[in-house]
Amino acid sequence: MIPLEHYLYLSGVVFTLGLCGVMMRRNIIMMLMGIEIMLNAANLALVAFNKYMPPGPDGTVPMDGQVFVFFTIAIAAAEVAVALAIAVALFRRLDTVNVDDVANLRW
Amino acid sequence: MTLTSPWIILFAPLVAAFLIGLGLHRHKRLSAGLALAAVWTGFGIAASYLPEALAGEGAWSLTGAITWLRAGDITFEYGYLVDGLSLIMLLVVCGVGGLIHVYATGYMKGDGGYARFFGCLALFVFSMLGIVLADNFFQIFIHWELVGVSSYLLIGFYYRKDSAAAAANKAFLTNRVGDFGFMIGILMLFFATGTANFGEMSVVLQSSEYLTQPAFSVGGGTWVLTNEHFLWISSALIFMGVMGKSAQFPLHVWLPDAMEGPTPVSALIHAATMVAAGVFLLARVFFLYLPSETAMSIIAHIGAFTAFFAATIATTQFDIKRILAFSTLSQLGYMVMAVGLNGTDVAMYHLTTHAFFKACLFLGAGSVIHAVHTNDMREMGGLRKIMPGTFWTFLISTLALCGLPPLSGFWSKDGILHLTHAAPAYADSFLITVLPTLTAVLTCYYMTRMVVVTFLGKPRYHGHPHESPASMVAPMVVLSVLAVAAGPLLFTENVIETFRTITRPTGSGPFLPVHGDVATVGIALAIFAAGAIPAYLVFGLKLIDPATIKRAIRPVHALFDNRWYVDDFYEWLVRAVQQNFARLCNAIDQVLIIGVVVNGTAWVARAGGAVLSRYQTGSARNYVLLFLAGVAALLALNL
Amino acid sequence: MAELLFWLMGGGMVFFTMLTIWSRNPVHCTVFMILSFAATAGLFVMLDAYLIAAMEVLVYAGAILMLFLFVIMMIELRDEEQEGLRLNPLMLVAAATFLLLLGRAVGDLGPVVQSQANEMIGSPAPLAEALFTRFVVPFEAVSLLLLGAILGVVVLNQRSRDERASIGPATPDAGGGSAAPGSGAPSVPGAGAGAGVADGSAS
Repeated sequence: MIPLEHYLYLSGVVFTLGLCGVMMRRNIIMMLMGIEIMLNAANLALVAFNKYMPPGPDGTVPMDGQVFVFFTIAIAAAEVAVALAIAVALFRRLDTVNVDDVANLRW
Repeated sequence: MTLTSPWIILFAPLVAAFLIGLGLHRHKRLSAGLALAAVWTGFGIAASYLPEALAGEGAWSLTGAITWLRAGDITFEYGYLVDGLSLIMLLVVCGVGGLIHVYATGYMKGDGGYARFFGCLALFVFSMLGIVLADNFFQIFIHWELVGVSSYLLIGFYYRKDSAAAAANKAFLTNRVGDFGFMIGILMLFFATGTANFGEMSVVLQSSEYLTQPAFSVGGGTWVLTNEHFLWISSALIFMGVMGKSAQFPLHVWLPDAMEGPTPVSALIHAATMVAAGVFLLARVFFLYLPSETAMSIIAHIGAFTAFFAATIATTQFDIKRILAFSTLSQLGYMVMAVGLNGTDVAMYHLTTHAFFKACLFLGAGSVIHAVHTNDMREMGGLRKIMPGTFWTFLISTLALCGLPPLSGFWSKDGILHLTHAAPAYADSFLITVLPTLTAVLTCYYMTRMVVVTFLGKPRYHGHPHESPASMVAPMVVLSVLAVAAGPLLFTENVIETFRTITRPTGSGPFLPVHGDVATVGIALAIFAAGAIPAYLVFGLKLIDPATIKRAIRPVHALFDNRWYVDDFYEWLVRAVQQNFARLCNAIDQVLIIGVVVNGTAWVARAGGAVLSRYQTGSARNYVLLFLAGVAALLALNL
Repeated sequence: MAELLFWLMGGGMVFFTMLTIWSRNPVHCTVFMILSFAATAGLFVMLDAYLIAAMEVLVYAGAILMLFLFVIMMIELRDEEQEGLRLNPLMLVAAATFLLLLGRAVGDLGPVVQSQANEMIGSPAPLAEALFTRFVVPFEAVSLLLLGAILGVVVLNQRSRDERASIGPATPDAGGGSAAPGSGAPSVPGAGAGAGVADGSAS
């Protein structure tokens, strides 16, 4: 039996790796990948929590964790579609996918 | 909703007003005809109820209502309640109003706003009939305001004249003061009784245990306001509405100025009907005042004072319409006082007779003004020969107003004077016992003065005045006949008593019949002689120069001539108190609200923005880092 | 047995994730990421979340990462633009701090979870029941969100009218004549259509 903490530590580590990907890469597509990794890590935590959730009053285990993961995946799909479309549009306009080159939105 | 006749009475003028407003105003004669037809239709229908009502001896009534809107469990209804009281008002409003409409077709001839005038008049009639027919407080309030609006439109009819526009504003604003109290009073009553319907409300109030129940209790019962006190306050507030509309002191200031409107308007609105709405309302909601001695006493005293106060001012004026306006104030004071003295039926009787002769006086004044093109009595004189029709009707109405037996004014006014002496509770009240009689003397004085100065003596007018057309004289003749006939001369005493019986609210005081016995007639004649003879001596025979009297009683004369300085007081109030208060508010607003709150907030936002905008680098990775810092902070704080 | 599987899957997940963020070549990154997600799916199976595991493979690895791959192929970066992780001490410290804090948070989990795992909760039926009863409103909202995303993508990559005009053969110098930055397009090898679009849009 693997304790819950193991999953959570694993999730934390992967999350931090994804964070590093977002912070330390300049390619916008790679940054998006980092975000996906972070989402995936969170999904792992959610599913693990669901496994260790106390049963409800009627004795069955609520499926909230998995439902959340379901939603996360759906939303991640939408997010990736829009974000990649933005990346493509960006590339078509400015011929670059480097975020440091598109720091125009500032005061 | 079946189309029963009270609805036709009520909505026919509205339809006329709409049609005129929507496009018929190009056809002058059609517009006037429509307004006339609407009013006389109402009169016809109302008259058809009369036999039934007289046979019913006060128990007859006709009701109906539609649900107007519903909010939660509160239902607002729009209905009608025709009983003896409202039937009399219907006949007065439609009958006198119809005659004035006829008069106006002649008076307004050639005026550019002919059709607009009749449109406004029809709107007014609709509003007024709504008050008369209303069966609940909300409806009466709506029409109360509608009457205010149409009155505004008609006073300011000559809107290009500054004084007319100002008078319209003054009337509207003064009425607002009263209506504010009226509205709060209605809401309080609604809150206390849970209904706005007159009938249901009076049933609630009649249960004796209701009055002692608490309406409010603050601090767990340490401070309790019983329903009785609550009702006292709300009924006093409702009386404020009456004071505004019926121009009682101290809200009377608008009525004299309202004479800026065309004369038919003055006759219809500011003599016969609208200003009587207050008295009508008092009679309608009499059940509110009945339980409270104090409220009745306040009403009686305000009425008595207004009557005297206005009469004194009328003695010094020279504008023919203003004299009539102050006279109207004075007579309204009588009516209000009569209600306060538990004589609602007498008040309604006086209201009716007053509507006849005062409307006739106004129409006569309008006829004179029409002829000589001025309002100033000093530029008239000697019109008797030129305008015989106007003179005789004017004279008859004057005598009726003075209460000369056996004209109608004698019966109604003496009914009121009789009340003042029959009320033991006020035996030591100077205002109630002495002033009304004194007022009657003054009435005779200023009315005689007006007739003498206007129609007798040497001509002082310019141009070539001539008698008014038949369309103007005919209504005056009808009204003067009514002014004579509304007493027992034509109607029998029986009819008068029936009239009073059907206008009496349930639970009012003992019925005091009016008898023309020798003593009453003698007193009336004495009052008339005490007022009319000095006036005739001074202004007719010129035995004493008026200037001499003026000099002899200078301070009193100045007081009367300046209308007891009430207008000046209000002006001072506005200029010195309100203006300075407004300045103070403005200063607070400038410094505290605008300076600190508004601009201060803006400054904080701007300064904060100036600092924070440095971190708006545009670099996505910086934002990630900052975001991470935020999440880390949350984690670190163990939230 | 379960422990061994966990360490295998978990280790694989961390390893492939590291490779994902480390690799220079975007295509490689994507492939590593697919592997990482596959390991995650295995962990989901161990946690009795069979439906979620299937979705992870189908939607994430199958659809989303294919989309990534597709876009990467379409943009096709020049060699000099490809780069790996740019190590930055500040960011590293931040990430390490964050990891520490996360660990601390895991350390004091409250009584909301039990120490014993639930047995056999993996049937899709209760999940479906929850989705279509308690969570039906969010469920429908997500469907609207997806619709919005579809429309958004269409709008974002719609060519504006003048772009379309500039692509036409009748106007060969529509973009080039304006000496816009995009006129350096010939240096992009093989991306003829894309470069042409960039040309037009830069003007």
